[in-house]
Amino acid sequence: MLPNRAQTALSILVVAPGNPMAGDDGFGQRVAARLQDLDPPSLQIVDLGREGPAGLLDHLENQAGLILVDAVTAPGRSPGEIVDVDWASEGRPALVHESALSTHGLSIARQLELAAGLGLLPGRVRLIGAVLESTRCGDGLSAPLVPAVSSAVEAVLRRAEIWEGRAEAVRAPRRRSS
Amino acid sequence: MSSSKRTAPEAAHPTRLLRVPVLARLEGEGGLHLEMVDGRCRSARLDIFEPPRFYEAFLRGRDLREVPDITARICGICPVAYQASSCQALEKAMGISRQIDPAIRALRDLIYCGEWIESHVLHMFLLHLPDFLGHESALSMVADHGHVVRQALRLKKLGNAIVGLLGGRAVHPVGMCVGGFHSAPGVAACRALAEEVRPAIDDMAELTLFLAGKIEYPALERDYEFLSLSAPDEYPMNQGRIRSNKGLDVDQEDFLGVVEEHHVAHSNALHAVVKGRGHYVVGPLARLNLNHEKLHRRALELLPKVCQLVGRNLPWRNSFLSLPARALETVHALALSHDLLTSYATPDRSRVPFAVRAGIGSHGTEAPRGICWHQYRVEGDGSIASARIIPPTSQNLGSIEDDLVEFAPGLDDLPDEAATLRCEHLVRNYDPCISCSVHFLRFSRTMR
Repeated sequence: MLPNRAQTALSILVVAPGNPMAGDDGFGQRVAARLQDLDPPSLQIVDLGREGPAGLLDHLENQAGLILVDAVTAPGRSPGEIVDVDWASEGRPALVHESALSTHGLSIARQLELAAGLGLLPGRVRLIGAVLESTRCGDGLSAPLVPAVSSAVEAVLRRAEIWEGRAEAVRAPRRRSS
Repeated sequence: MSSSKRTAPEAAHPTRLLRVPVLARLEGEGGLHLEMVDGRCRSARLDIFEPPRFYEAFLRGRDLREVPDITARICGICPVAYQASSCQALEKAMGISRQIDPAIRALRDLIYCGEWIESHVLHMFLLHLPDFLGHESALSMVADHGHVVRQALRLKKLGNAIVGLLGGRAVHPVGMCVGGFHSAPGVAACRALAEEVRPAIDDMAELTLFLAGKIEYPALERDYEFLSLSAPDEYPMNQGRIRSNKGLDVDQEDFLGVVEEHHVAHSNALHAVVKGRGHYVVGPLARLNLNHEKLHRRALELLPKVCQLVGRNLPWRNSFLSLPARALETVHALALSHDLLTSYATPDRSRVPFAVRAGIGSHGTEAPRGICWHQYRVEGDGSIASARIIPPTSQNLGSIEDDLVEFAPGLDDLPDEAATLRCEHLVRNYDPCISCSVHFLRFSRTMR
């Protein structure tokens, strides 16, 4: 069997799937980039945009929690509206490509299902996203989603605090020097 | 999404042309139609509705140095194959093919090993094995065979790591270029990865024996013509002449002299034949049957046991045995990559410079699914005048249909749902890029 990775302090995994060249489908990447600039110490931020959604499984083992940041489809809700729900909650909005199992790999939903079956899924999984307006070709977000990026960043940081049981006020995240 | 028609076999089935929506990705959903007469299969059609992608057309006018990265987008699971074939074809066109350093060739073999590992493992354990174990998908297989799935995922991750090390990333790698690689990896990184690969060889050997011994392979025996590359001292991957088990033996440049592609009414993908003969097969079964003695020692030592377990010595003429063939190739790729990673030294140069000139070059490499052959004609300014790309899946389509004709009479007494599943199993023997979605073949039969 493969040698186990050296155990480090468990972190909260923040994963951003999506295609940055498909309009609002790049929402997750925008949020991930802002989080990387802030560099919160307990978060491990993974941009799956280039790696492809099928790479999620490779990151799941030994994580304290998982936060998926993505654009979602939610009929009846307004574009740009923030979604902040447990992954398993009833009525959870769907991701853009909710399920697929193919020669190219597995979708996010399928991977989480597989991870659960294999005992790899973190005990806490959250979806934080924004209702998309359009996934047209191009690298810009629709107008309603632009301000949603900041809101999603705040939601991720807030969720991390809750999971870590931090009672004190939010410690100002370190800004990573350029 | 499609579903199989559920009717009793003795009821009449109206003939219908199966049309499926065209997907944005390369692979489209396949439609299947069998025409049965008095219990015999008169015809079997694999309808391919994926749209033409016009790569050969829009490559015209592009700079030759753009071609590897453009052709890599043809497929998300085997981009290395397209890059390797295009780079080596263009190196022939630029007259530098013989100048490619052995160290660069070794790096090409290494990145190809990574692709074989991740592609073969994904197909074997997540797409194909559930068929044989009676599971709907890999997800339902986890309950009974979780350890197998876990091992498979770790092996796939290793394959991705190898591709990422040399290509810059695992999906649509960008490291390869005409002349070699943009940069070479560090020795420390190679040694570290070698340490992860070493125990994986044993893991895959164990899984290979599991696949050979625990599965009852359906009976199917046909007189295939197998085509693969064949090189004197190595199991085929990047180099070799093109050979078959029926006497074909030509240089890469002469491939179009012995095979031809043609349109068929029911498919947007071309079918290929050996001129004057008929359909042929490329891929793991072809490679193994033609080159098994050149497998890495770690794979070769498994072969007698595998043959004993499947109850058949080589050559294997049953397309269902592509599964153990793929497994042996994965052991080979892991062992070869370990050798290459442990012996790696920083090369004097990562790529060979060249002066742009007019020229023509042809080269095929062994994608996980079989020969992926490219030909380019280049203008004096370096722009592409013409391109010809023959992927492995289209070469196998004719044989898939021939297999179905042979296999279908045995399905006569099965209800549609069970018959559909068996046909899907058979199509997946070829690991085709067309069946990207699992269990999504629409099935119809005309009974007379």
